[in-house]
Order: sequence, then structure tokens, then C-alpha cells
Amino acid sequence: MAAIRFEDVVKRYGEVVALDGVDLTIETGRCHCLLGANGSGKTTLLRLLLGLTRPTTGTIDRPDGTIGCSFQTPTFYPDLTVTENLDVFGAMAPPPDEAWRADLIDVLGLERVATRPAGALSGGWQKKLDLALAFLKRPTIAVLDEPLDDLDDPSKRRLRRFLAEYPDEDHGLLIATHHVTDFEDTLDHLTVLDHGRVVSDGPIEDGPAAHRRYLDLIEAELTPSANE
Amino acid sequence: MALGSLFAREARWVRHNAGVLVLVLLVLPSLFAVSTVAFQQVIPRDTPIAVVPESESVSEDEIDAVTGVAAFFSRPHDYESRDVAERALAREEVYAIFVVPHGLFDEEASVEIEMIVEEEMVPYEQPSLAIASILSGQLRGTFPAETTVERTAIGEDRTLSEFLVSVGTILLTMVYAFVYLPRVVADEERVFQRIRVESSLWRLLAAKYAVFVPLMLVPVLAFHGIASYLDFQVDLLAPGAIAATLLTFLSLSAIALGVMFLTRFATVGRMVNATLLFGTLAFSNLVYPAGFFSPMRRNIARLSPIHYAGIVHRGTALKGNTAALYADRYLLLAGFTLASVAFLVASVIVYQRRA
Repeated sequence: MAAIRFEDVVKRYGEVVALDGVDLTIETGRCHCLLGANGSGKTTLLRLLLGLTRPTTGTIDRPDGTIGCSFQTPTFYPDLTVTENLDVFGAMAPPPDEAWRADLIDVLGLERVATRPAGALSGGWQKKLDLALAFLKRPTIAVLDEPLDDLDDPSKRRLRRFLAEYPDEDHGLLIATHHVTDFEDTLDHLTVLDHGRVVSDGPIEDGPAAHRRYLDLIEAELTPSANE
Repeated sequence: MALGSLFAREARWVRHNAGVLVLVLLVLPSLFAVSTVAFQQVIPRDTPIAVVPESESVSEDEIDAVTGVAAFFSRPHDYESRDVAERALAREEVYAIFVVPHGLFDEEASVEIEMIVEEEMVPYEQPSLAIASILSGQLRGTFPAETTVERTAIGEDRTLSEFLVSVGTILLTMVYAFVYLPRVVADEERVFQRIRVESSLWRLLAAKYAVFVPLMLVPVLAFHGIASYLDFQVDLLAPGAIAATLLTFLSLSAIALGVMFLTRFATVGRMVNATLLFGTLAFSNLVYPAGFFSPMRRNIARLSPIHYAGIVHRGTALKGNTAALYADRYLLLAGFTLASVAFLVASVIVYQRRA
């Protein structure tokens, strides 16, 4: 079982503290949900995890395996077709086999737009291509930022089924979202971030439903200031 | 939407982009205005020339006297022998050689000063004729001897078109380096995050250069094909000329990409690159010999590696000289390229750290 470990990670942007002493472990075998309001530090945490920025202090240990990512803003070559994008990024980090790539295309329904330039696709199709690129190499940990944004309901259902089956001994998921209800049936570990700090971190089966737990935490955070 | 609302939006845009606007509308025009001081006259008065004795019998006073007169329209340098001066002429360290004979101070003598120029330096042809004529007049009144100036053109006769084909290759390469490649990389900025996760920006840049450096041979081939069709006597496929073209592209594109990474691919980066392009065009003296327009331009050109890229390109493609004649110039270009690549590397590191 592989794990990504954050140890006392602090990230500052000038005077702004985006993450403040974060300790966190993200393991294979589970669907880990990262929850928090706008500005809570989710995106900063994901960027640190992906190696796109460096912590001000603290350490981040990544597993030997691979990390795949889907960004909040879909990221691909807009002038290439869907198939060409899959080919280009598949060449950088090859899929385990052709069957895996074919499954992904099927789950996300990309066959219909395979020959169209990616930049000309609607937001939903662009999101599906971005997700396909995240899973293309069947990464050890797939990091997904708001994966259901812009998807229609049938696509959401298919993707949720796919996500529920993805975690196993060698693979895991980290999903950053505002909409925890979308993943209540899928997630088994919840981390709540607030103002750059981890205010809750634990397996979901040990407590109330994720959404309820999140709301309770946020309410608890807000109550003292409301009384002041 | 009312005009007032749109105007308010423009006012906010000005406020948000105040720094860039100051750079684009104030600093750059000011730099342009300041740069005009480098253009002082249209008659070449500061072109480097060589003054050499015809024989051992020529006295130091005679050399000094000719050097003094020549200083009115050029920047003379004394050379010990004609061979050394001709090598300097081929390398464009000087653009004319004045061979001084003995007898300038002898009232009974009739002496002829030989002025040697290169046929291939087409833009210097007319100025050199004028200089020969002016010098003849000045010398006649200066020395006791009957003195004339005989202009000799060595090398192969070339047309202005042939000369400009060589210059055009370097100029177009500069445009590709400062405009085209940065634009192509800027278009890919939106995938940088995924590239950094799946691969790296270093590999992306390496791949870009692996494609674009060979692609730079396509315009060279096009130039060469047209030149051959027009029966121009210029060999743009000479290895030395290709090396100069590619080193120019590598060095300038590395600088241009470095600017883009430092400015995080903002519009201001394109403006800076456009300024660098025009600055390099204006101050590298690719068309006119160093010393045209002002001493300041000569000094600036002599500091520009692209000035030497133009010289070695002309030397190998137009004059048919061997690349070995310009070995030190190639070393300079290679060093400049390494420094430019180091700047690009530092810019990418800063870009990634500030992400």
C-alpha cells in the first residue's frame, strides 16, 4: 500500500498563509475526499501534492508510483483532437494496456468526439477529456479537482460507478470538492480544510454522514465568531 | 451598456494595468527616443580602417600623417603588414586598407596611396568612392608630394541583392527567435500544469528545440533555392553560414523565451521581446558597416554577438571564406548561446518557484 504524506506543511504566499501546519496521509485502497470552503487551501494542497509548487516549510513524501490529475480548469492541447491528446499524453505516461484506454473512452463516452479538436468541445466534453487524461496511465493516486463539474446526470452516474471501483490495494483517489453529497456513496475517508488548517481527518464509517459532519464542523467554526 | 459604463471599465483597466502601460507607453518610447542619439550622421565618419606601410622605407611620420588625415572620415588603426590588414578586412575588423608609400614629404615625388576595399561589402562601395575622392583632395593640400588615392576593390563582384540575401537570412532568423517560437510556446502555457505533472517543462523545451532547430533550415533552403534560381552568387548552405544562423536562433530564442517565462507569458513579455528585436536590428549593424551613423553605434555593434553572426554569415556565404577564419567569432557566438540558455534555465526555475 502506497501513501502520500504531508508532515507539518506550511505554504505562504507573501503575508497570506494558504496552508498552516498540515499533517495528512493519502493512501491507496480508498477514496479520500478533501472538503472545504472557497479559500480553505484545497487547491494549494493539490498543487503541493502534484509538485507544482513547493512548501514553505514541512515535507511531502510521495510514493514511487504515479500520480494522475484532473484540474478544475480542463488542461489539454486545444488544437489537437481528443484522440491526439490521448496519444500525446499516453506517450508521456503510457496506459497499462490498450484495454484500459478503451475502457476509459467507453466510460466517459469520448468515442463520439474522438476526432474533434479538443478546444472546440463543450465544457462537459472538455471535463471528460481531462478526466480521461487523469486516469490514462492508471495512476497509483488519481487527484481530481471537482470532477463532476459540467457533467450531465448520466455522465455523473457512470463516473461515480467508475470512481467507486477504482480504489484497490494499488490505487487510490483524492477528490477535492465543495459538493460532498455527490460522493457520499463513494468516499471512505474525509478531510476537512478550513483557513489552511485540517479541522477534521478520518474514515467516514466512524462518524456521521460526510455532509452532516462537514456542516457541523463549519458551523462549529463559525459559531464563536458569530457570538463575538 | 451606456458609454459611461464602458468608459468606467476602461478606467479600471488602466488602473489595473498601470505598470504595464508605463512600460509600454512611457519607458519603451523613451528608450526609442534616447536611442536616436546613436544616429548622428548619414556619411560614414567612424568606420574602422587599416593604415599599413607599403614597404620598410615608409617612415613613422608618414604613417602618422596619413592616419591623422584619415581620422577626419574614419577611425584608423595602424597595421604592420598588408597580410594582417587584409585578414582584418576579410573579418570586417576594418572596412578599407590604406597602403602608404614612401615619399609623402618629398616635393619632387609623385606618390599613390592605395585604398583597398572588398567587392562583397556592397553598402560600402559608394561611400568608399566618396572617401577616396575626398581623401585625394585633402592629401593634395597636406603633403609636399604630388599625392593621389587609387581605389582597388578585391574579392568577387556582388550585387546588393546578393548581399541582402545573406543579411535577410539572419534578420528572418531573428524574427523567428523573438516572435514566432515565443508565440508557439505561449499558446501551450495552458497545458504547462499537466506537462509538469506528466513530464517536465525542461523536456517540453528540449522537444521544442529538437523540432524548431531543424525547421530553421527550411527558410534557409527557401532563401538558397530562390537565390540559386536568380543566379545569385551566395552559398547559404555553407556549413559556416548554417552554424551562424542556428547559433543566432538558439541564442536569441533562449533570451526571448526567458523573457516570456519571467513575465509569466503576459503581454508585457511580448512587448519586451519586440523591443529587443528592434534594438538588435537597429544596433547590430547587419546591413551597414560598423561606424556608420555614429561612433556610439560602432561601439554598440562591436558589443553585439549578432553583429558578428552577420559578419561570419557574410564571410562564409557571400565571400566564400573558410569558417576557420572566424573561429574566435564562433566561440563568441557559442559562449553567448550558452549564456542565453543559462538565462532561460534561470527564468524557468523562477517561473516554477513562483507558481
